[in-house]
Amino acid sequence: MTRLSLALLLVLVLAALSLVTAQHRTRQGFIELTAQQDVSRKLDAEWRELQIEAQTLTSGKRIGEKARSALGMQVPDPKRTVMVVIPPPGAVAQGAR
Amino acid sequence: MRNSGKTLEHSLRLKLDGSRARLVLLLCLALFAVLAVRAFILQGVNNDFLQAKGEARFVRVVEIPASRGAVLDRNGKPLAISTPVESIWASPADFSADPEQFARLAQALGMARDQLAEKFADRTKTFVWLKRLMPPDQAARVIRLGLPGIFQQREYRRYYPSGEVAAHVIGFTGVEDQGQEGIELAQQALLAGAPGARRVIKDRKGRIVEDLENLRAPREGRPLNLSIDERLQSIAHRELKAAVEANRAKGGALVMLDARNGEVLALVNQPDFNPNNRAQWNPKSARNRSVTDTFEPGSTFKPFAVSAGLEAGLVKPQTVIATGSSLSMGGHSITDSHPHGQLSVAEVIQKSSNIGTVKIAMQLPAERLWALYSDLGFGSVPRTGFPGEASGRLRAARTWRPIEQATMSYGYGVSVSALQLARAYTVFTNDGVLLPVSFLKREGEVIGKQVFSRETARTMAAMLETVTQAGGTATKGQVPGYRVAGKTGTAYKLVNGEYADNLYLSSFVGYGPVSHPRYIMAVTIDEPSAGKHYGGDVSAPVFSAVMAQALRLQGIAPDAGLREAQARPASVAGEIPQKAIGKDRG
Repeated sequence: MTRLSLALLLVLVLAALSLVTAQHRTRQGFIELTAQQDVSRKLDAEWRELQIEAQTLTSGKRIGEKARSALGMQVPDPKRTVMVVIPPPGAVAQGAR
Repeated sequence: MRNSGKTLEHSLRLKLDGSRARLVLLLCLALFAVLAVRAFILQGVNNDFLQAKGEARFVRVVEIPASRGAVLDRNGKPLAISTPVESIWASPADFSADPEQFARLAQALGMARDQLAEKFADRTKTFVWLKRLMPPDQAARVIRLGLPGIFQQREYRRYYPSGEVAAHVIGFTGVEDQGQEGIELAQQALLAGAPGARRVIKDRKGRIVEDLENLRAPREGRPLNLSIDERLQSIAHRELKAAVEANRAKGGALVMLDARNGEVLALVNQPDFNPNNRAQWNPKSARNRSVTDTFEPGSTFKPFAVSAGLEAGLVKPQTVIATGSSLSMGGHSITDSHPHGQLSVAEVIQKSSNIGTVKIAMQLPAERLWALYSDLGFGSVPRTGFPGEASGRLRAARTWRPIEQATMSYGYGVSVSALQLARAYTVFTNDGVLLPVSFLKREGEVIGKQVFSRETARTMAAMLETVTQAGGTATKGQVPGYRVAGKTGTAYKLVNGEYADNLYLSSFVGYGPVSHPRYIMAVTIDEPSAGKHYGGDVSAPVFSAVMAQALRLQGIAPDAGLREAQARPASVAGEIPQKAIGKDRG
């Protein structure tokens, strides 16, 4: 009877300890999860901002304006254009530049 | 039991009656049993109510915001995208600050002090927005002040990287992320995400101390691929804006469709607005004229009635019609602004003769013309799902008087939207098949509706090409190196039921390249007032400029022949086109 009680007491102590450890691990895991979610949110926000920036910088409007004003580019008139026609075997002719 | 000090010592030494001790023990046990039963009732049987009461004091369900889906152009470029921002809210009941802290708070929020004080006026409230949609770093400064009762909430703000260029197509959202206009409104269900929820434990000051469970994961909004091409859109925007300014016009619209499948590639309106800056927004400039506004199309409507004549076998392109100087009908007279005399049917289109068109249209029954206009999509909404789509006006055939049948053939007495007009021209690029239009990128084959026979459509296409050639009304619509076709229109505007003498709507609808049509474009300029008003002078140059850039951008091979393109002068200006305008009933 005493021996059984002692054995059960030992099991109880072990179970209690493992519960404490498990709880501790859960909390640590949760903290880690929250931290990673934060990182993910920050990266997502950064990605969105970069997308907006990229689109603002590469918008057709801005590139057109830069090409015309800063670089002084213009569309060549047909007189100065040489059309290169590549006779493709069966495919559609390309080459309007 | 006696209670005197003298007898106490004595009585303790007595051996007490055992039954009394048992009675006391029993009573004690009975009391414990009552406690146990009560505890069981509270914790086991009736615990839901109490648990709920307890949780109501510290467990809260908080929302996990979901972001709205991005709107992308056909090549995946973002046209509208949400980024997280912070909103600051306060619980006036928990708020306390000395005047100096209050001043710092006002400064960090960028608000006037008395304006901020107003928000805290009602001290019983536990929720009031202080400032919404702040940049995260600015919001962090507010939170760092560490004042009690001040909190932040993550929200999303919508950005439109292309600004006013695509403003009318995309529309915009309100502060609650609800679509207000355009695609944002039309596709609200798809774009909007569903916020998630989680259960947390909060302390008295509203800080989250423990996360209990995730109730729902947030569902992020789905991205949407439009049929719009951002590059074409910005070209169209630039050219239309320039033309509206140069002609000192009230407004303008441009719709560009893919001639092969009816996708909307570009759609711009003037005046425009910047969706990122709602301060200068007004309902007038936000209106998507090309979809929601209708107008009398004038001569751009002529090819339909003439095609019906060809289809019925009444006329052939070479058939000669005597146009004379005027045609009287039921007390009204129909005129051409420049008398032409004898014209072939092809020349009726090329030179835009009202009388010639009427003479063909009057040979057809009214029901037949009505069915044709209706088949072409006039008088009914284009069903793109775009909010506020106009159906235009097409009255039932039995109510037509002969003069109305006549004026309708050259575009008066019907009203259409620019989108409807552009779509109707798909019959000339697709061998008589009318294609449905779409703002969303299409996959696979499109099923259209056969309106004209293939022969009729091709015959009319050949006539439309002569419009941009020497002798036509739209030589300024030419695109060097490419064959293009189209039709001009210069319509008097109706003002209070009367046609105004000097207010015009100048339009051009065309497509190119003729050999393998890729783009259809409808350009309308509203009330040009800088001297020129003919569609061929005002709208055709916009068509030419946009078409030239679009074809070059897409790398489409010129189909007009090399030498011809190089021999043609760089400028097509100088030639004065003869444009017939229609004015009837007054």
